[in-house]
Amino acid sequence: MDCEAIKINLPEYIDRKLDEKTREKVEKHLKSCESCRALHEEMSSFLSFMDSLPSPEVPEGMKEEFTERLADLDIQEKKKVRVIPMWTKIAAMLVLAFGTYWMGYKTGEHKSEIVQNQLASEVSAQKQQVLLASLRDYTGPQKIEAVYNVSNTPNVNNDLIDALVYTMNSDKNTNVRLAAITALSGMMEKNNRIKQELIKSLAVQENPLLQISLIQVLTEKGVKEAKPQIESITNNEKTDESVKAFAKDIMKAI
Amino acid sequence: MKRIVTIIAAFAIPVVMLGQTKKFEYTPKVKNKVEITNLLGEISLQNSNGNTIVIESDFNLEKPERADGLKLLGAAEDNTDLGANVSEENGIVSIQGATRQVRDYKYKILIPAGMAVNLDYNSPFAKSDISVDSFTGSLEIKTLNASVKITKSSGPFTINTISGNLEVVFDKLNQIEPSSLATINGYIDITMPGSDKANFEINTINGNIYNNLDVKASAKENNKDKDRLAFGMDVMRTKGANSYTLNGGGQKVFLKTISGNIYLRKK
Repeated sequence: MDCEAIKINLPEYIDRKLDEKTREKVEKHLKSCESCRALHEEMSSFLSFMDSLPSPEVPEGMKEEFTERLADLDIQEKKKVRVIPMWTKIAAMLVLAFGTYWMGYKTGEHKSEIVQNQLASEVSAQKQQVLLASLRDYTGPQKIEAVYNVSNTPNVNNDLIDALVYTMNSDKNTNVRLAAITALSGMMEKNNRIKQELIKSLAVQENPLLQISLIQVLTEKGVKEAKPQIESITNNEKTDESVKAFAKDIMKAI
Repeated sequence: MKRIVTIIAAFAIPVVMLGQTKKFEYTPKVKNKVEITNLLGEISLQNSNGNTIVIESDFNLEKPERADGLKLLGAAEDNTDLGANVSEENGIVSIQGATRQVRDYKYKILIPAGMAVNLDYNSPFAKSDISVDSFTGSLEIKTLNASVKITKSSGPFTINTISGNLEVVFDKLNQIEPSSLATINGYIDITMPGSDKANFEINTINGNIYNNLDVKASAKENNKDKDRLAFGMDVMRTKGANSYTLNGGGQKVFLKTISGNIYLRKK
């Protein structure tokens, strides 16, 4: 059995739906082929994560939400908040990813082909989609898991940065925002845009914990461009005393 | 005789009323998530045995005589007789305080196992600390000054506070989803069975980490900031983020403090 045949059979192998002979062939191949083994591990973890999500269907009301978001687009752009256009893109990707994936995987006659296209070709892209999915109504731990999963991806593209920046600036859960800050700061060397997004976020965050965390990562990474923004926070009357004290200390060090 | 009964009633009834705990039960249509907001009294959470959300409270707000026949007008209608409003929409059960006076009372809330809970206690008017006991399921808590004490639970937890302390005694660590605890001025105190598997991602700025769990620094972090002079030596502690594994590693536990210490204890 060659690698292509393995890829086609992997989903059913993971679901333990293969007949004994094919299963043995797949097992034999996996023992000897490192790349298929890696794909198998990726796919297994992806599928188990998907299974752990509360509902595989496209969430109700999402269509309405798109319309609403699109209507908000102009207003949001005037306010120079760049996350909303991305949200519609994210949402559209979500519908495609989930719709095609689940229809194909659970019910379709061309199951293997669809699953192969969806999973075998772009496993890392799907991890990103898991993140995008998690931007909606999932729980804090699920979102943190999704953010953490993509934080080690080698492919730091603009879609991923947009999704993480959206999470960092807009998620209701402070711990999830914190996870996004950590993920983005870890990717800072891979993409120049991240530095600017972290600096901009200093003006967005109101929670003292997040403000301190941003100041911490920016100063640890030696981002001198952040200095005016940190000073601006320090001089703001509304800023929490603990943030002011931390910023003053750290500025001395710079 | 009539007089004696009247006297007894006059004295006894208020005493009975004072310690009386009332109960409200609600069976959710969808067993998914509970959101608790503006309920700023003394809150304790626990799992219930069945499929019903149970709220027990000593709430006993006396209406002024002048308000006879009038309803309390607020953000939400008190439909529980406990100063709280319970409603359900889009698979989310919402429990919200209907009057500011709720902060003078105790609320014990029993949640069916498996339902996620989101408790927003992020108000300067919040009166007390939060206690959670024997709770399984996703729990998100946000506080300003209140501390959170969790016992005999497995998580996953996402908790953040500005100046509260966070104490969590795991009966076992949930291995399906990660937990995240963060505080600025408070401390974090974690207790878990020494046999549990975990990955600790710890970040503290001015705090220290104390532990008697057999945690090991992850290889990734071990070499961080290591220079030539440190060749052949182990890194005991690196600034900023530190990763540790327990029993070879397991689900992730993110801990963050700014000035508070972190304590990792063996159960």
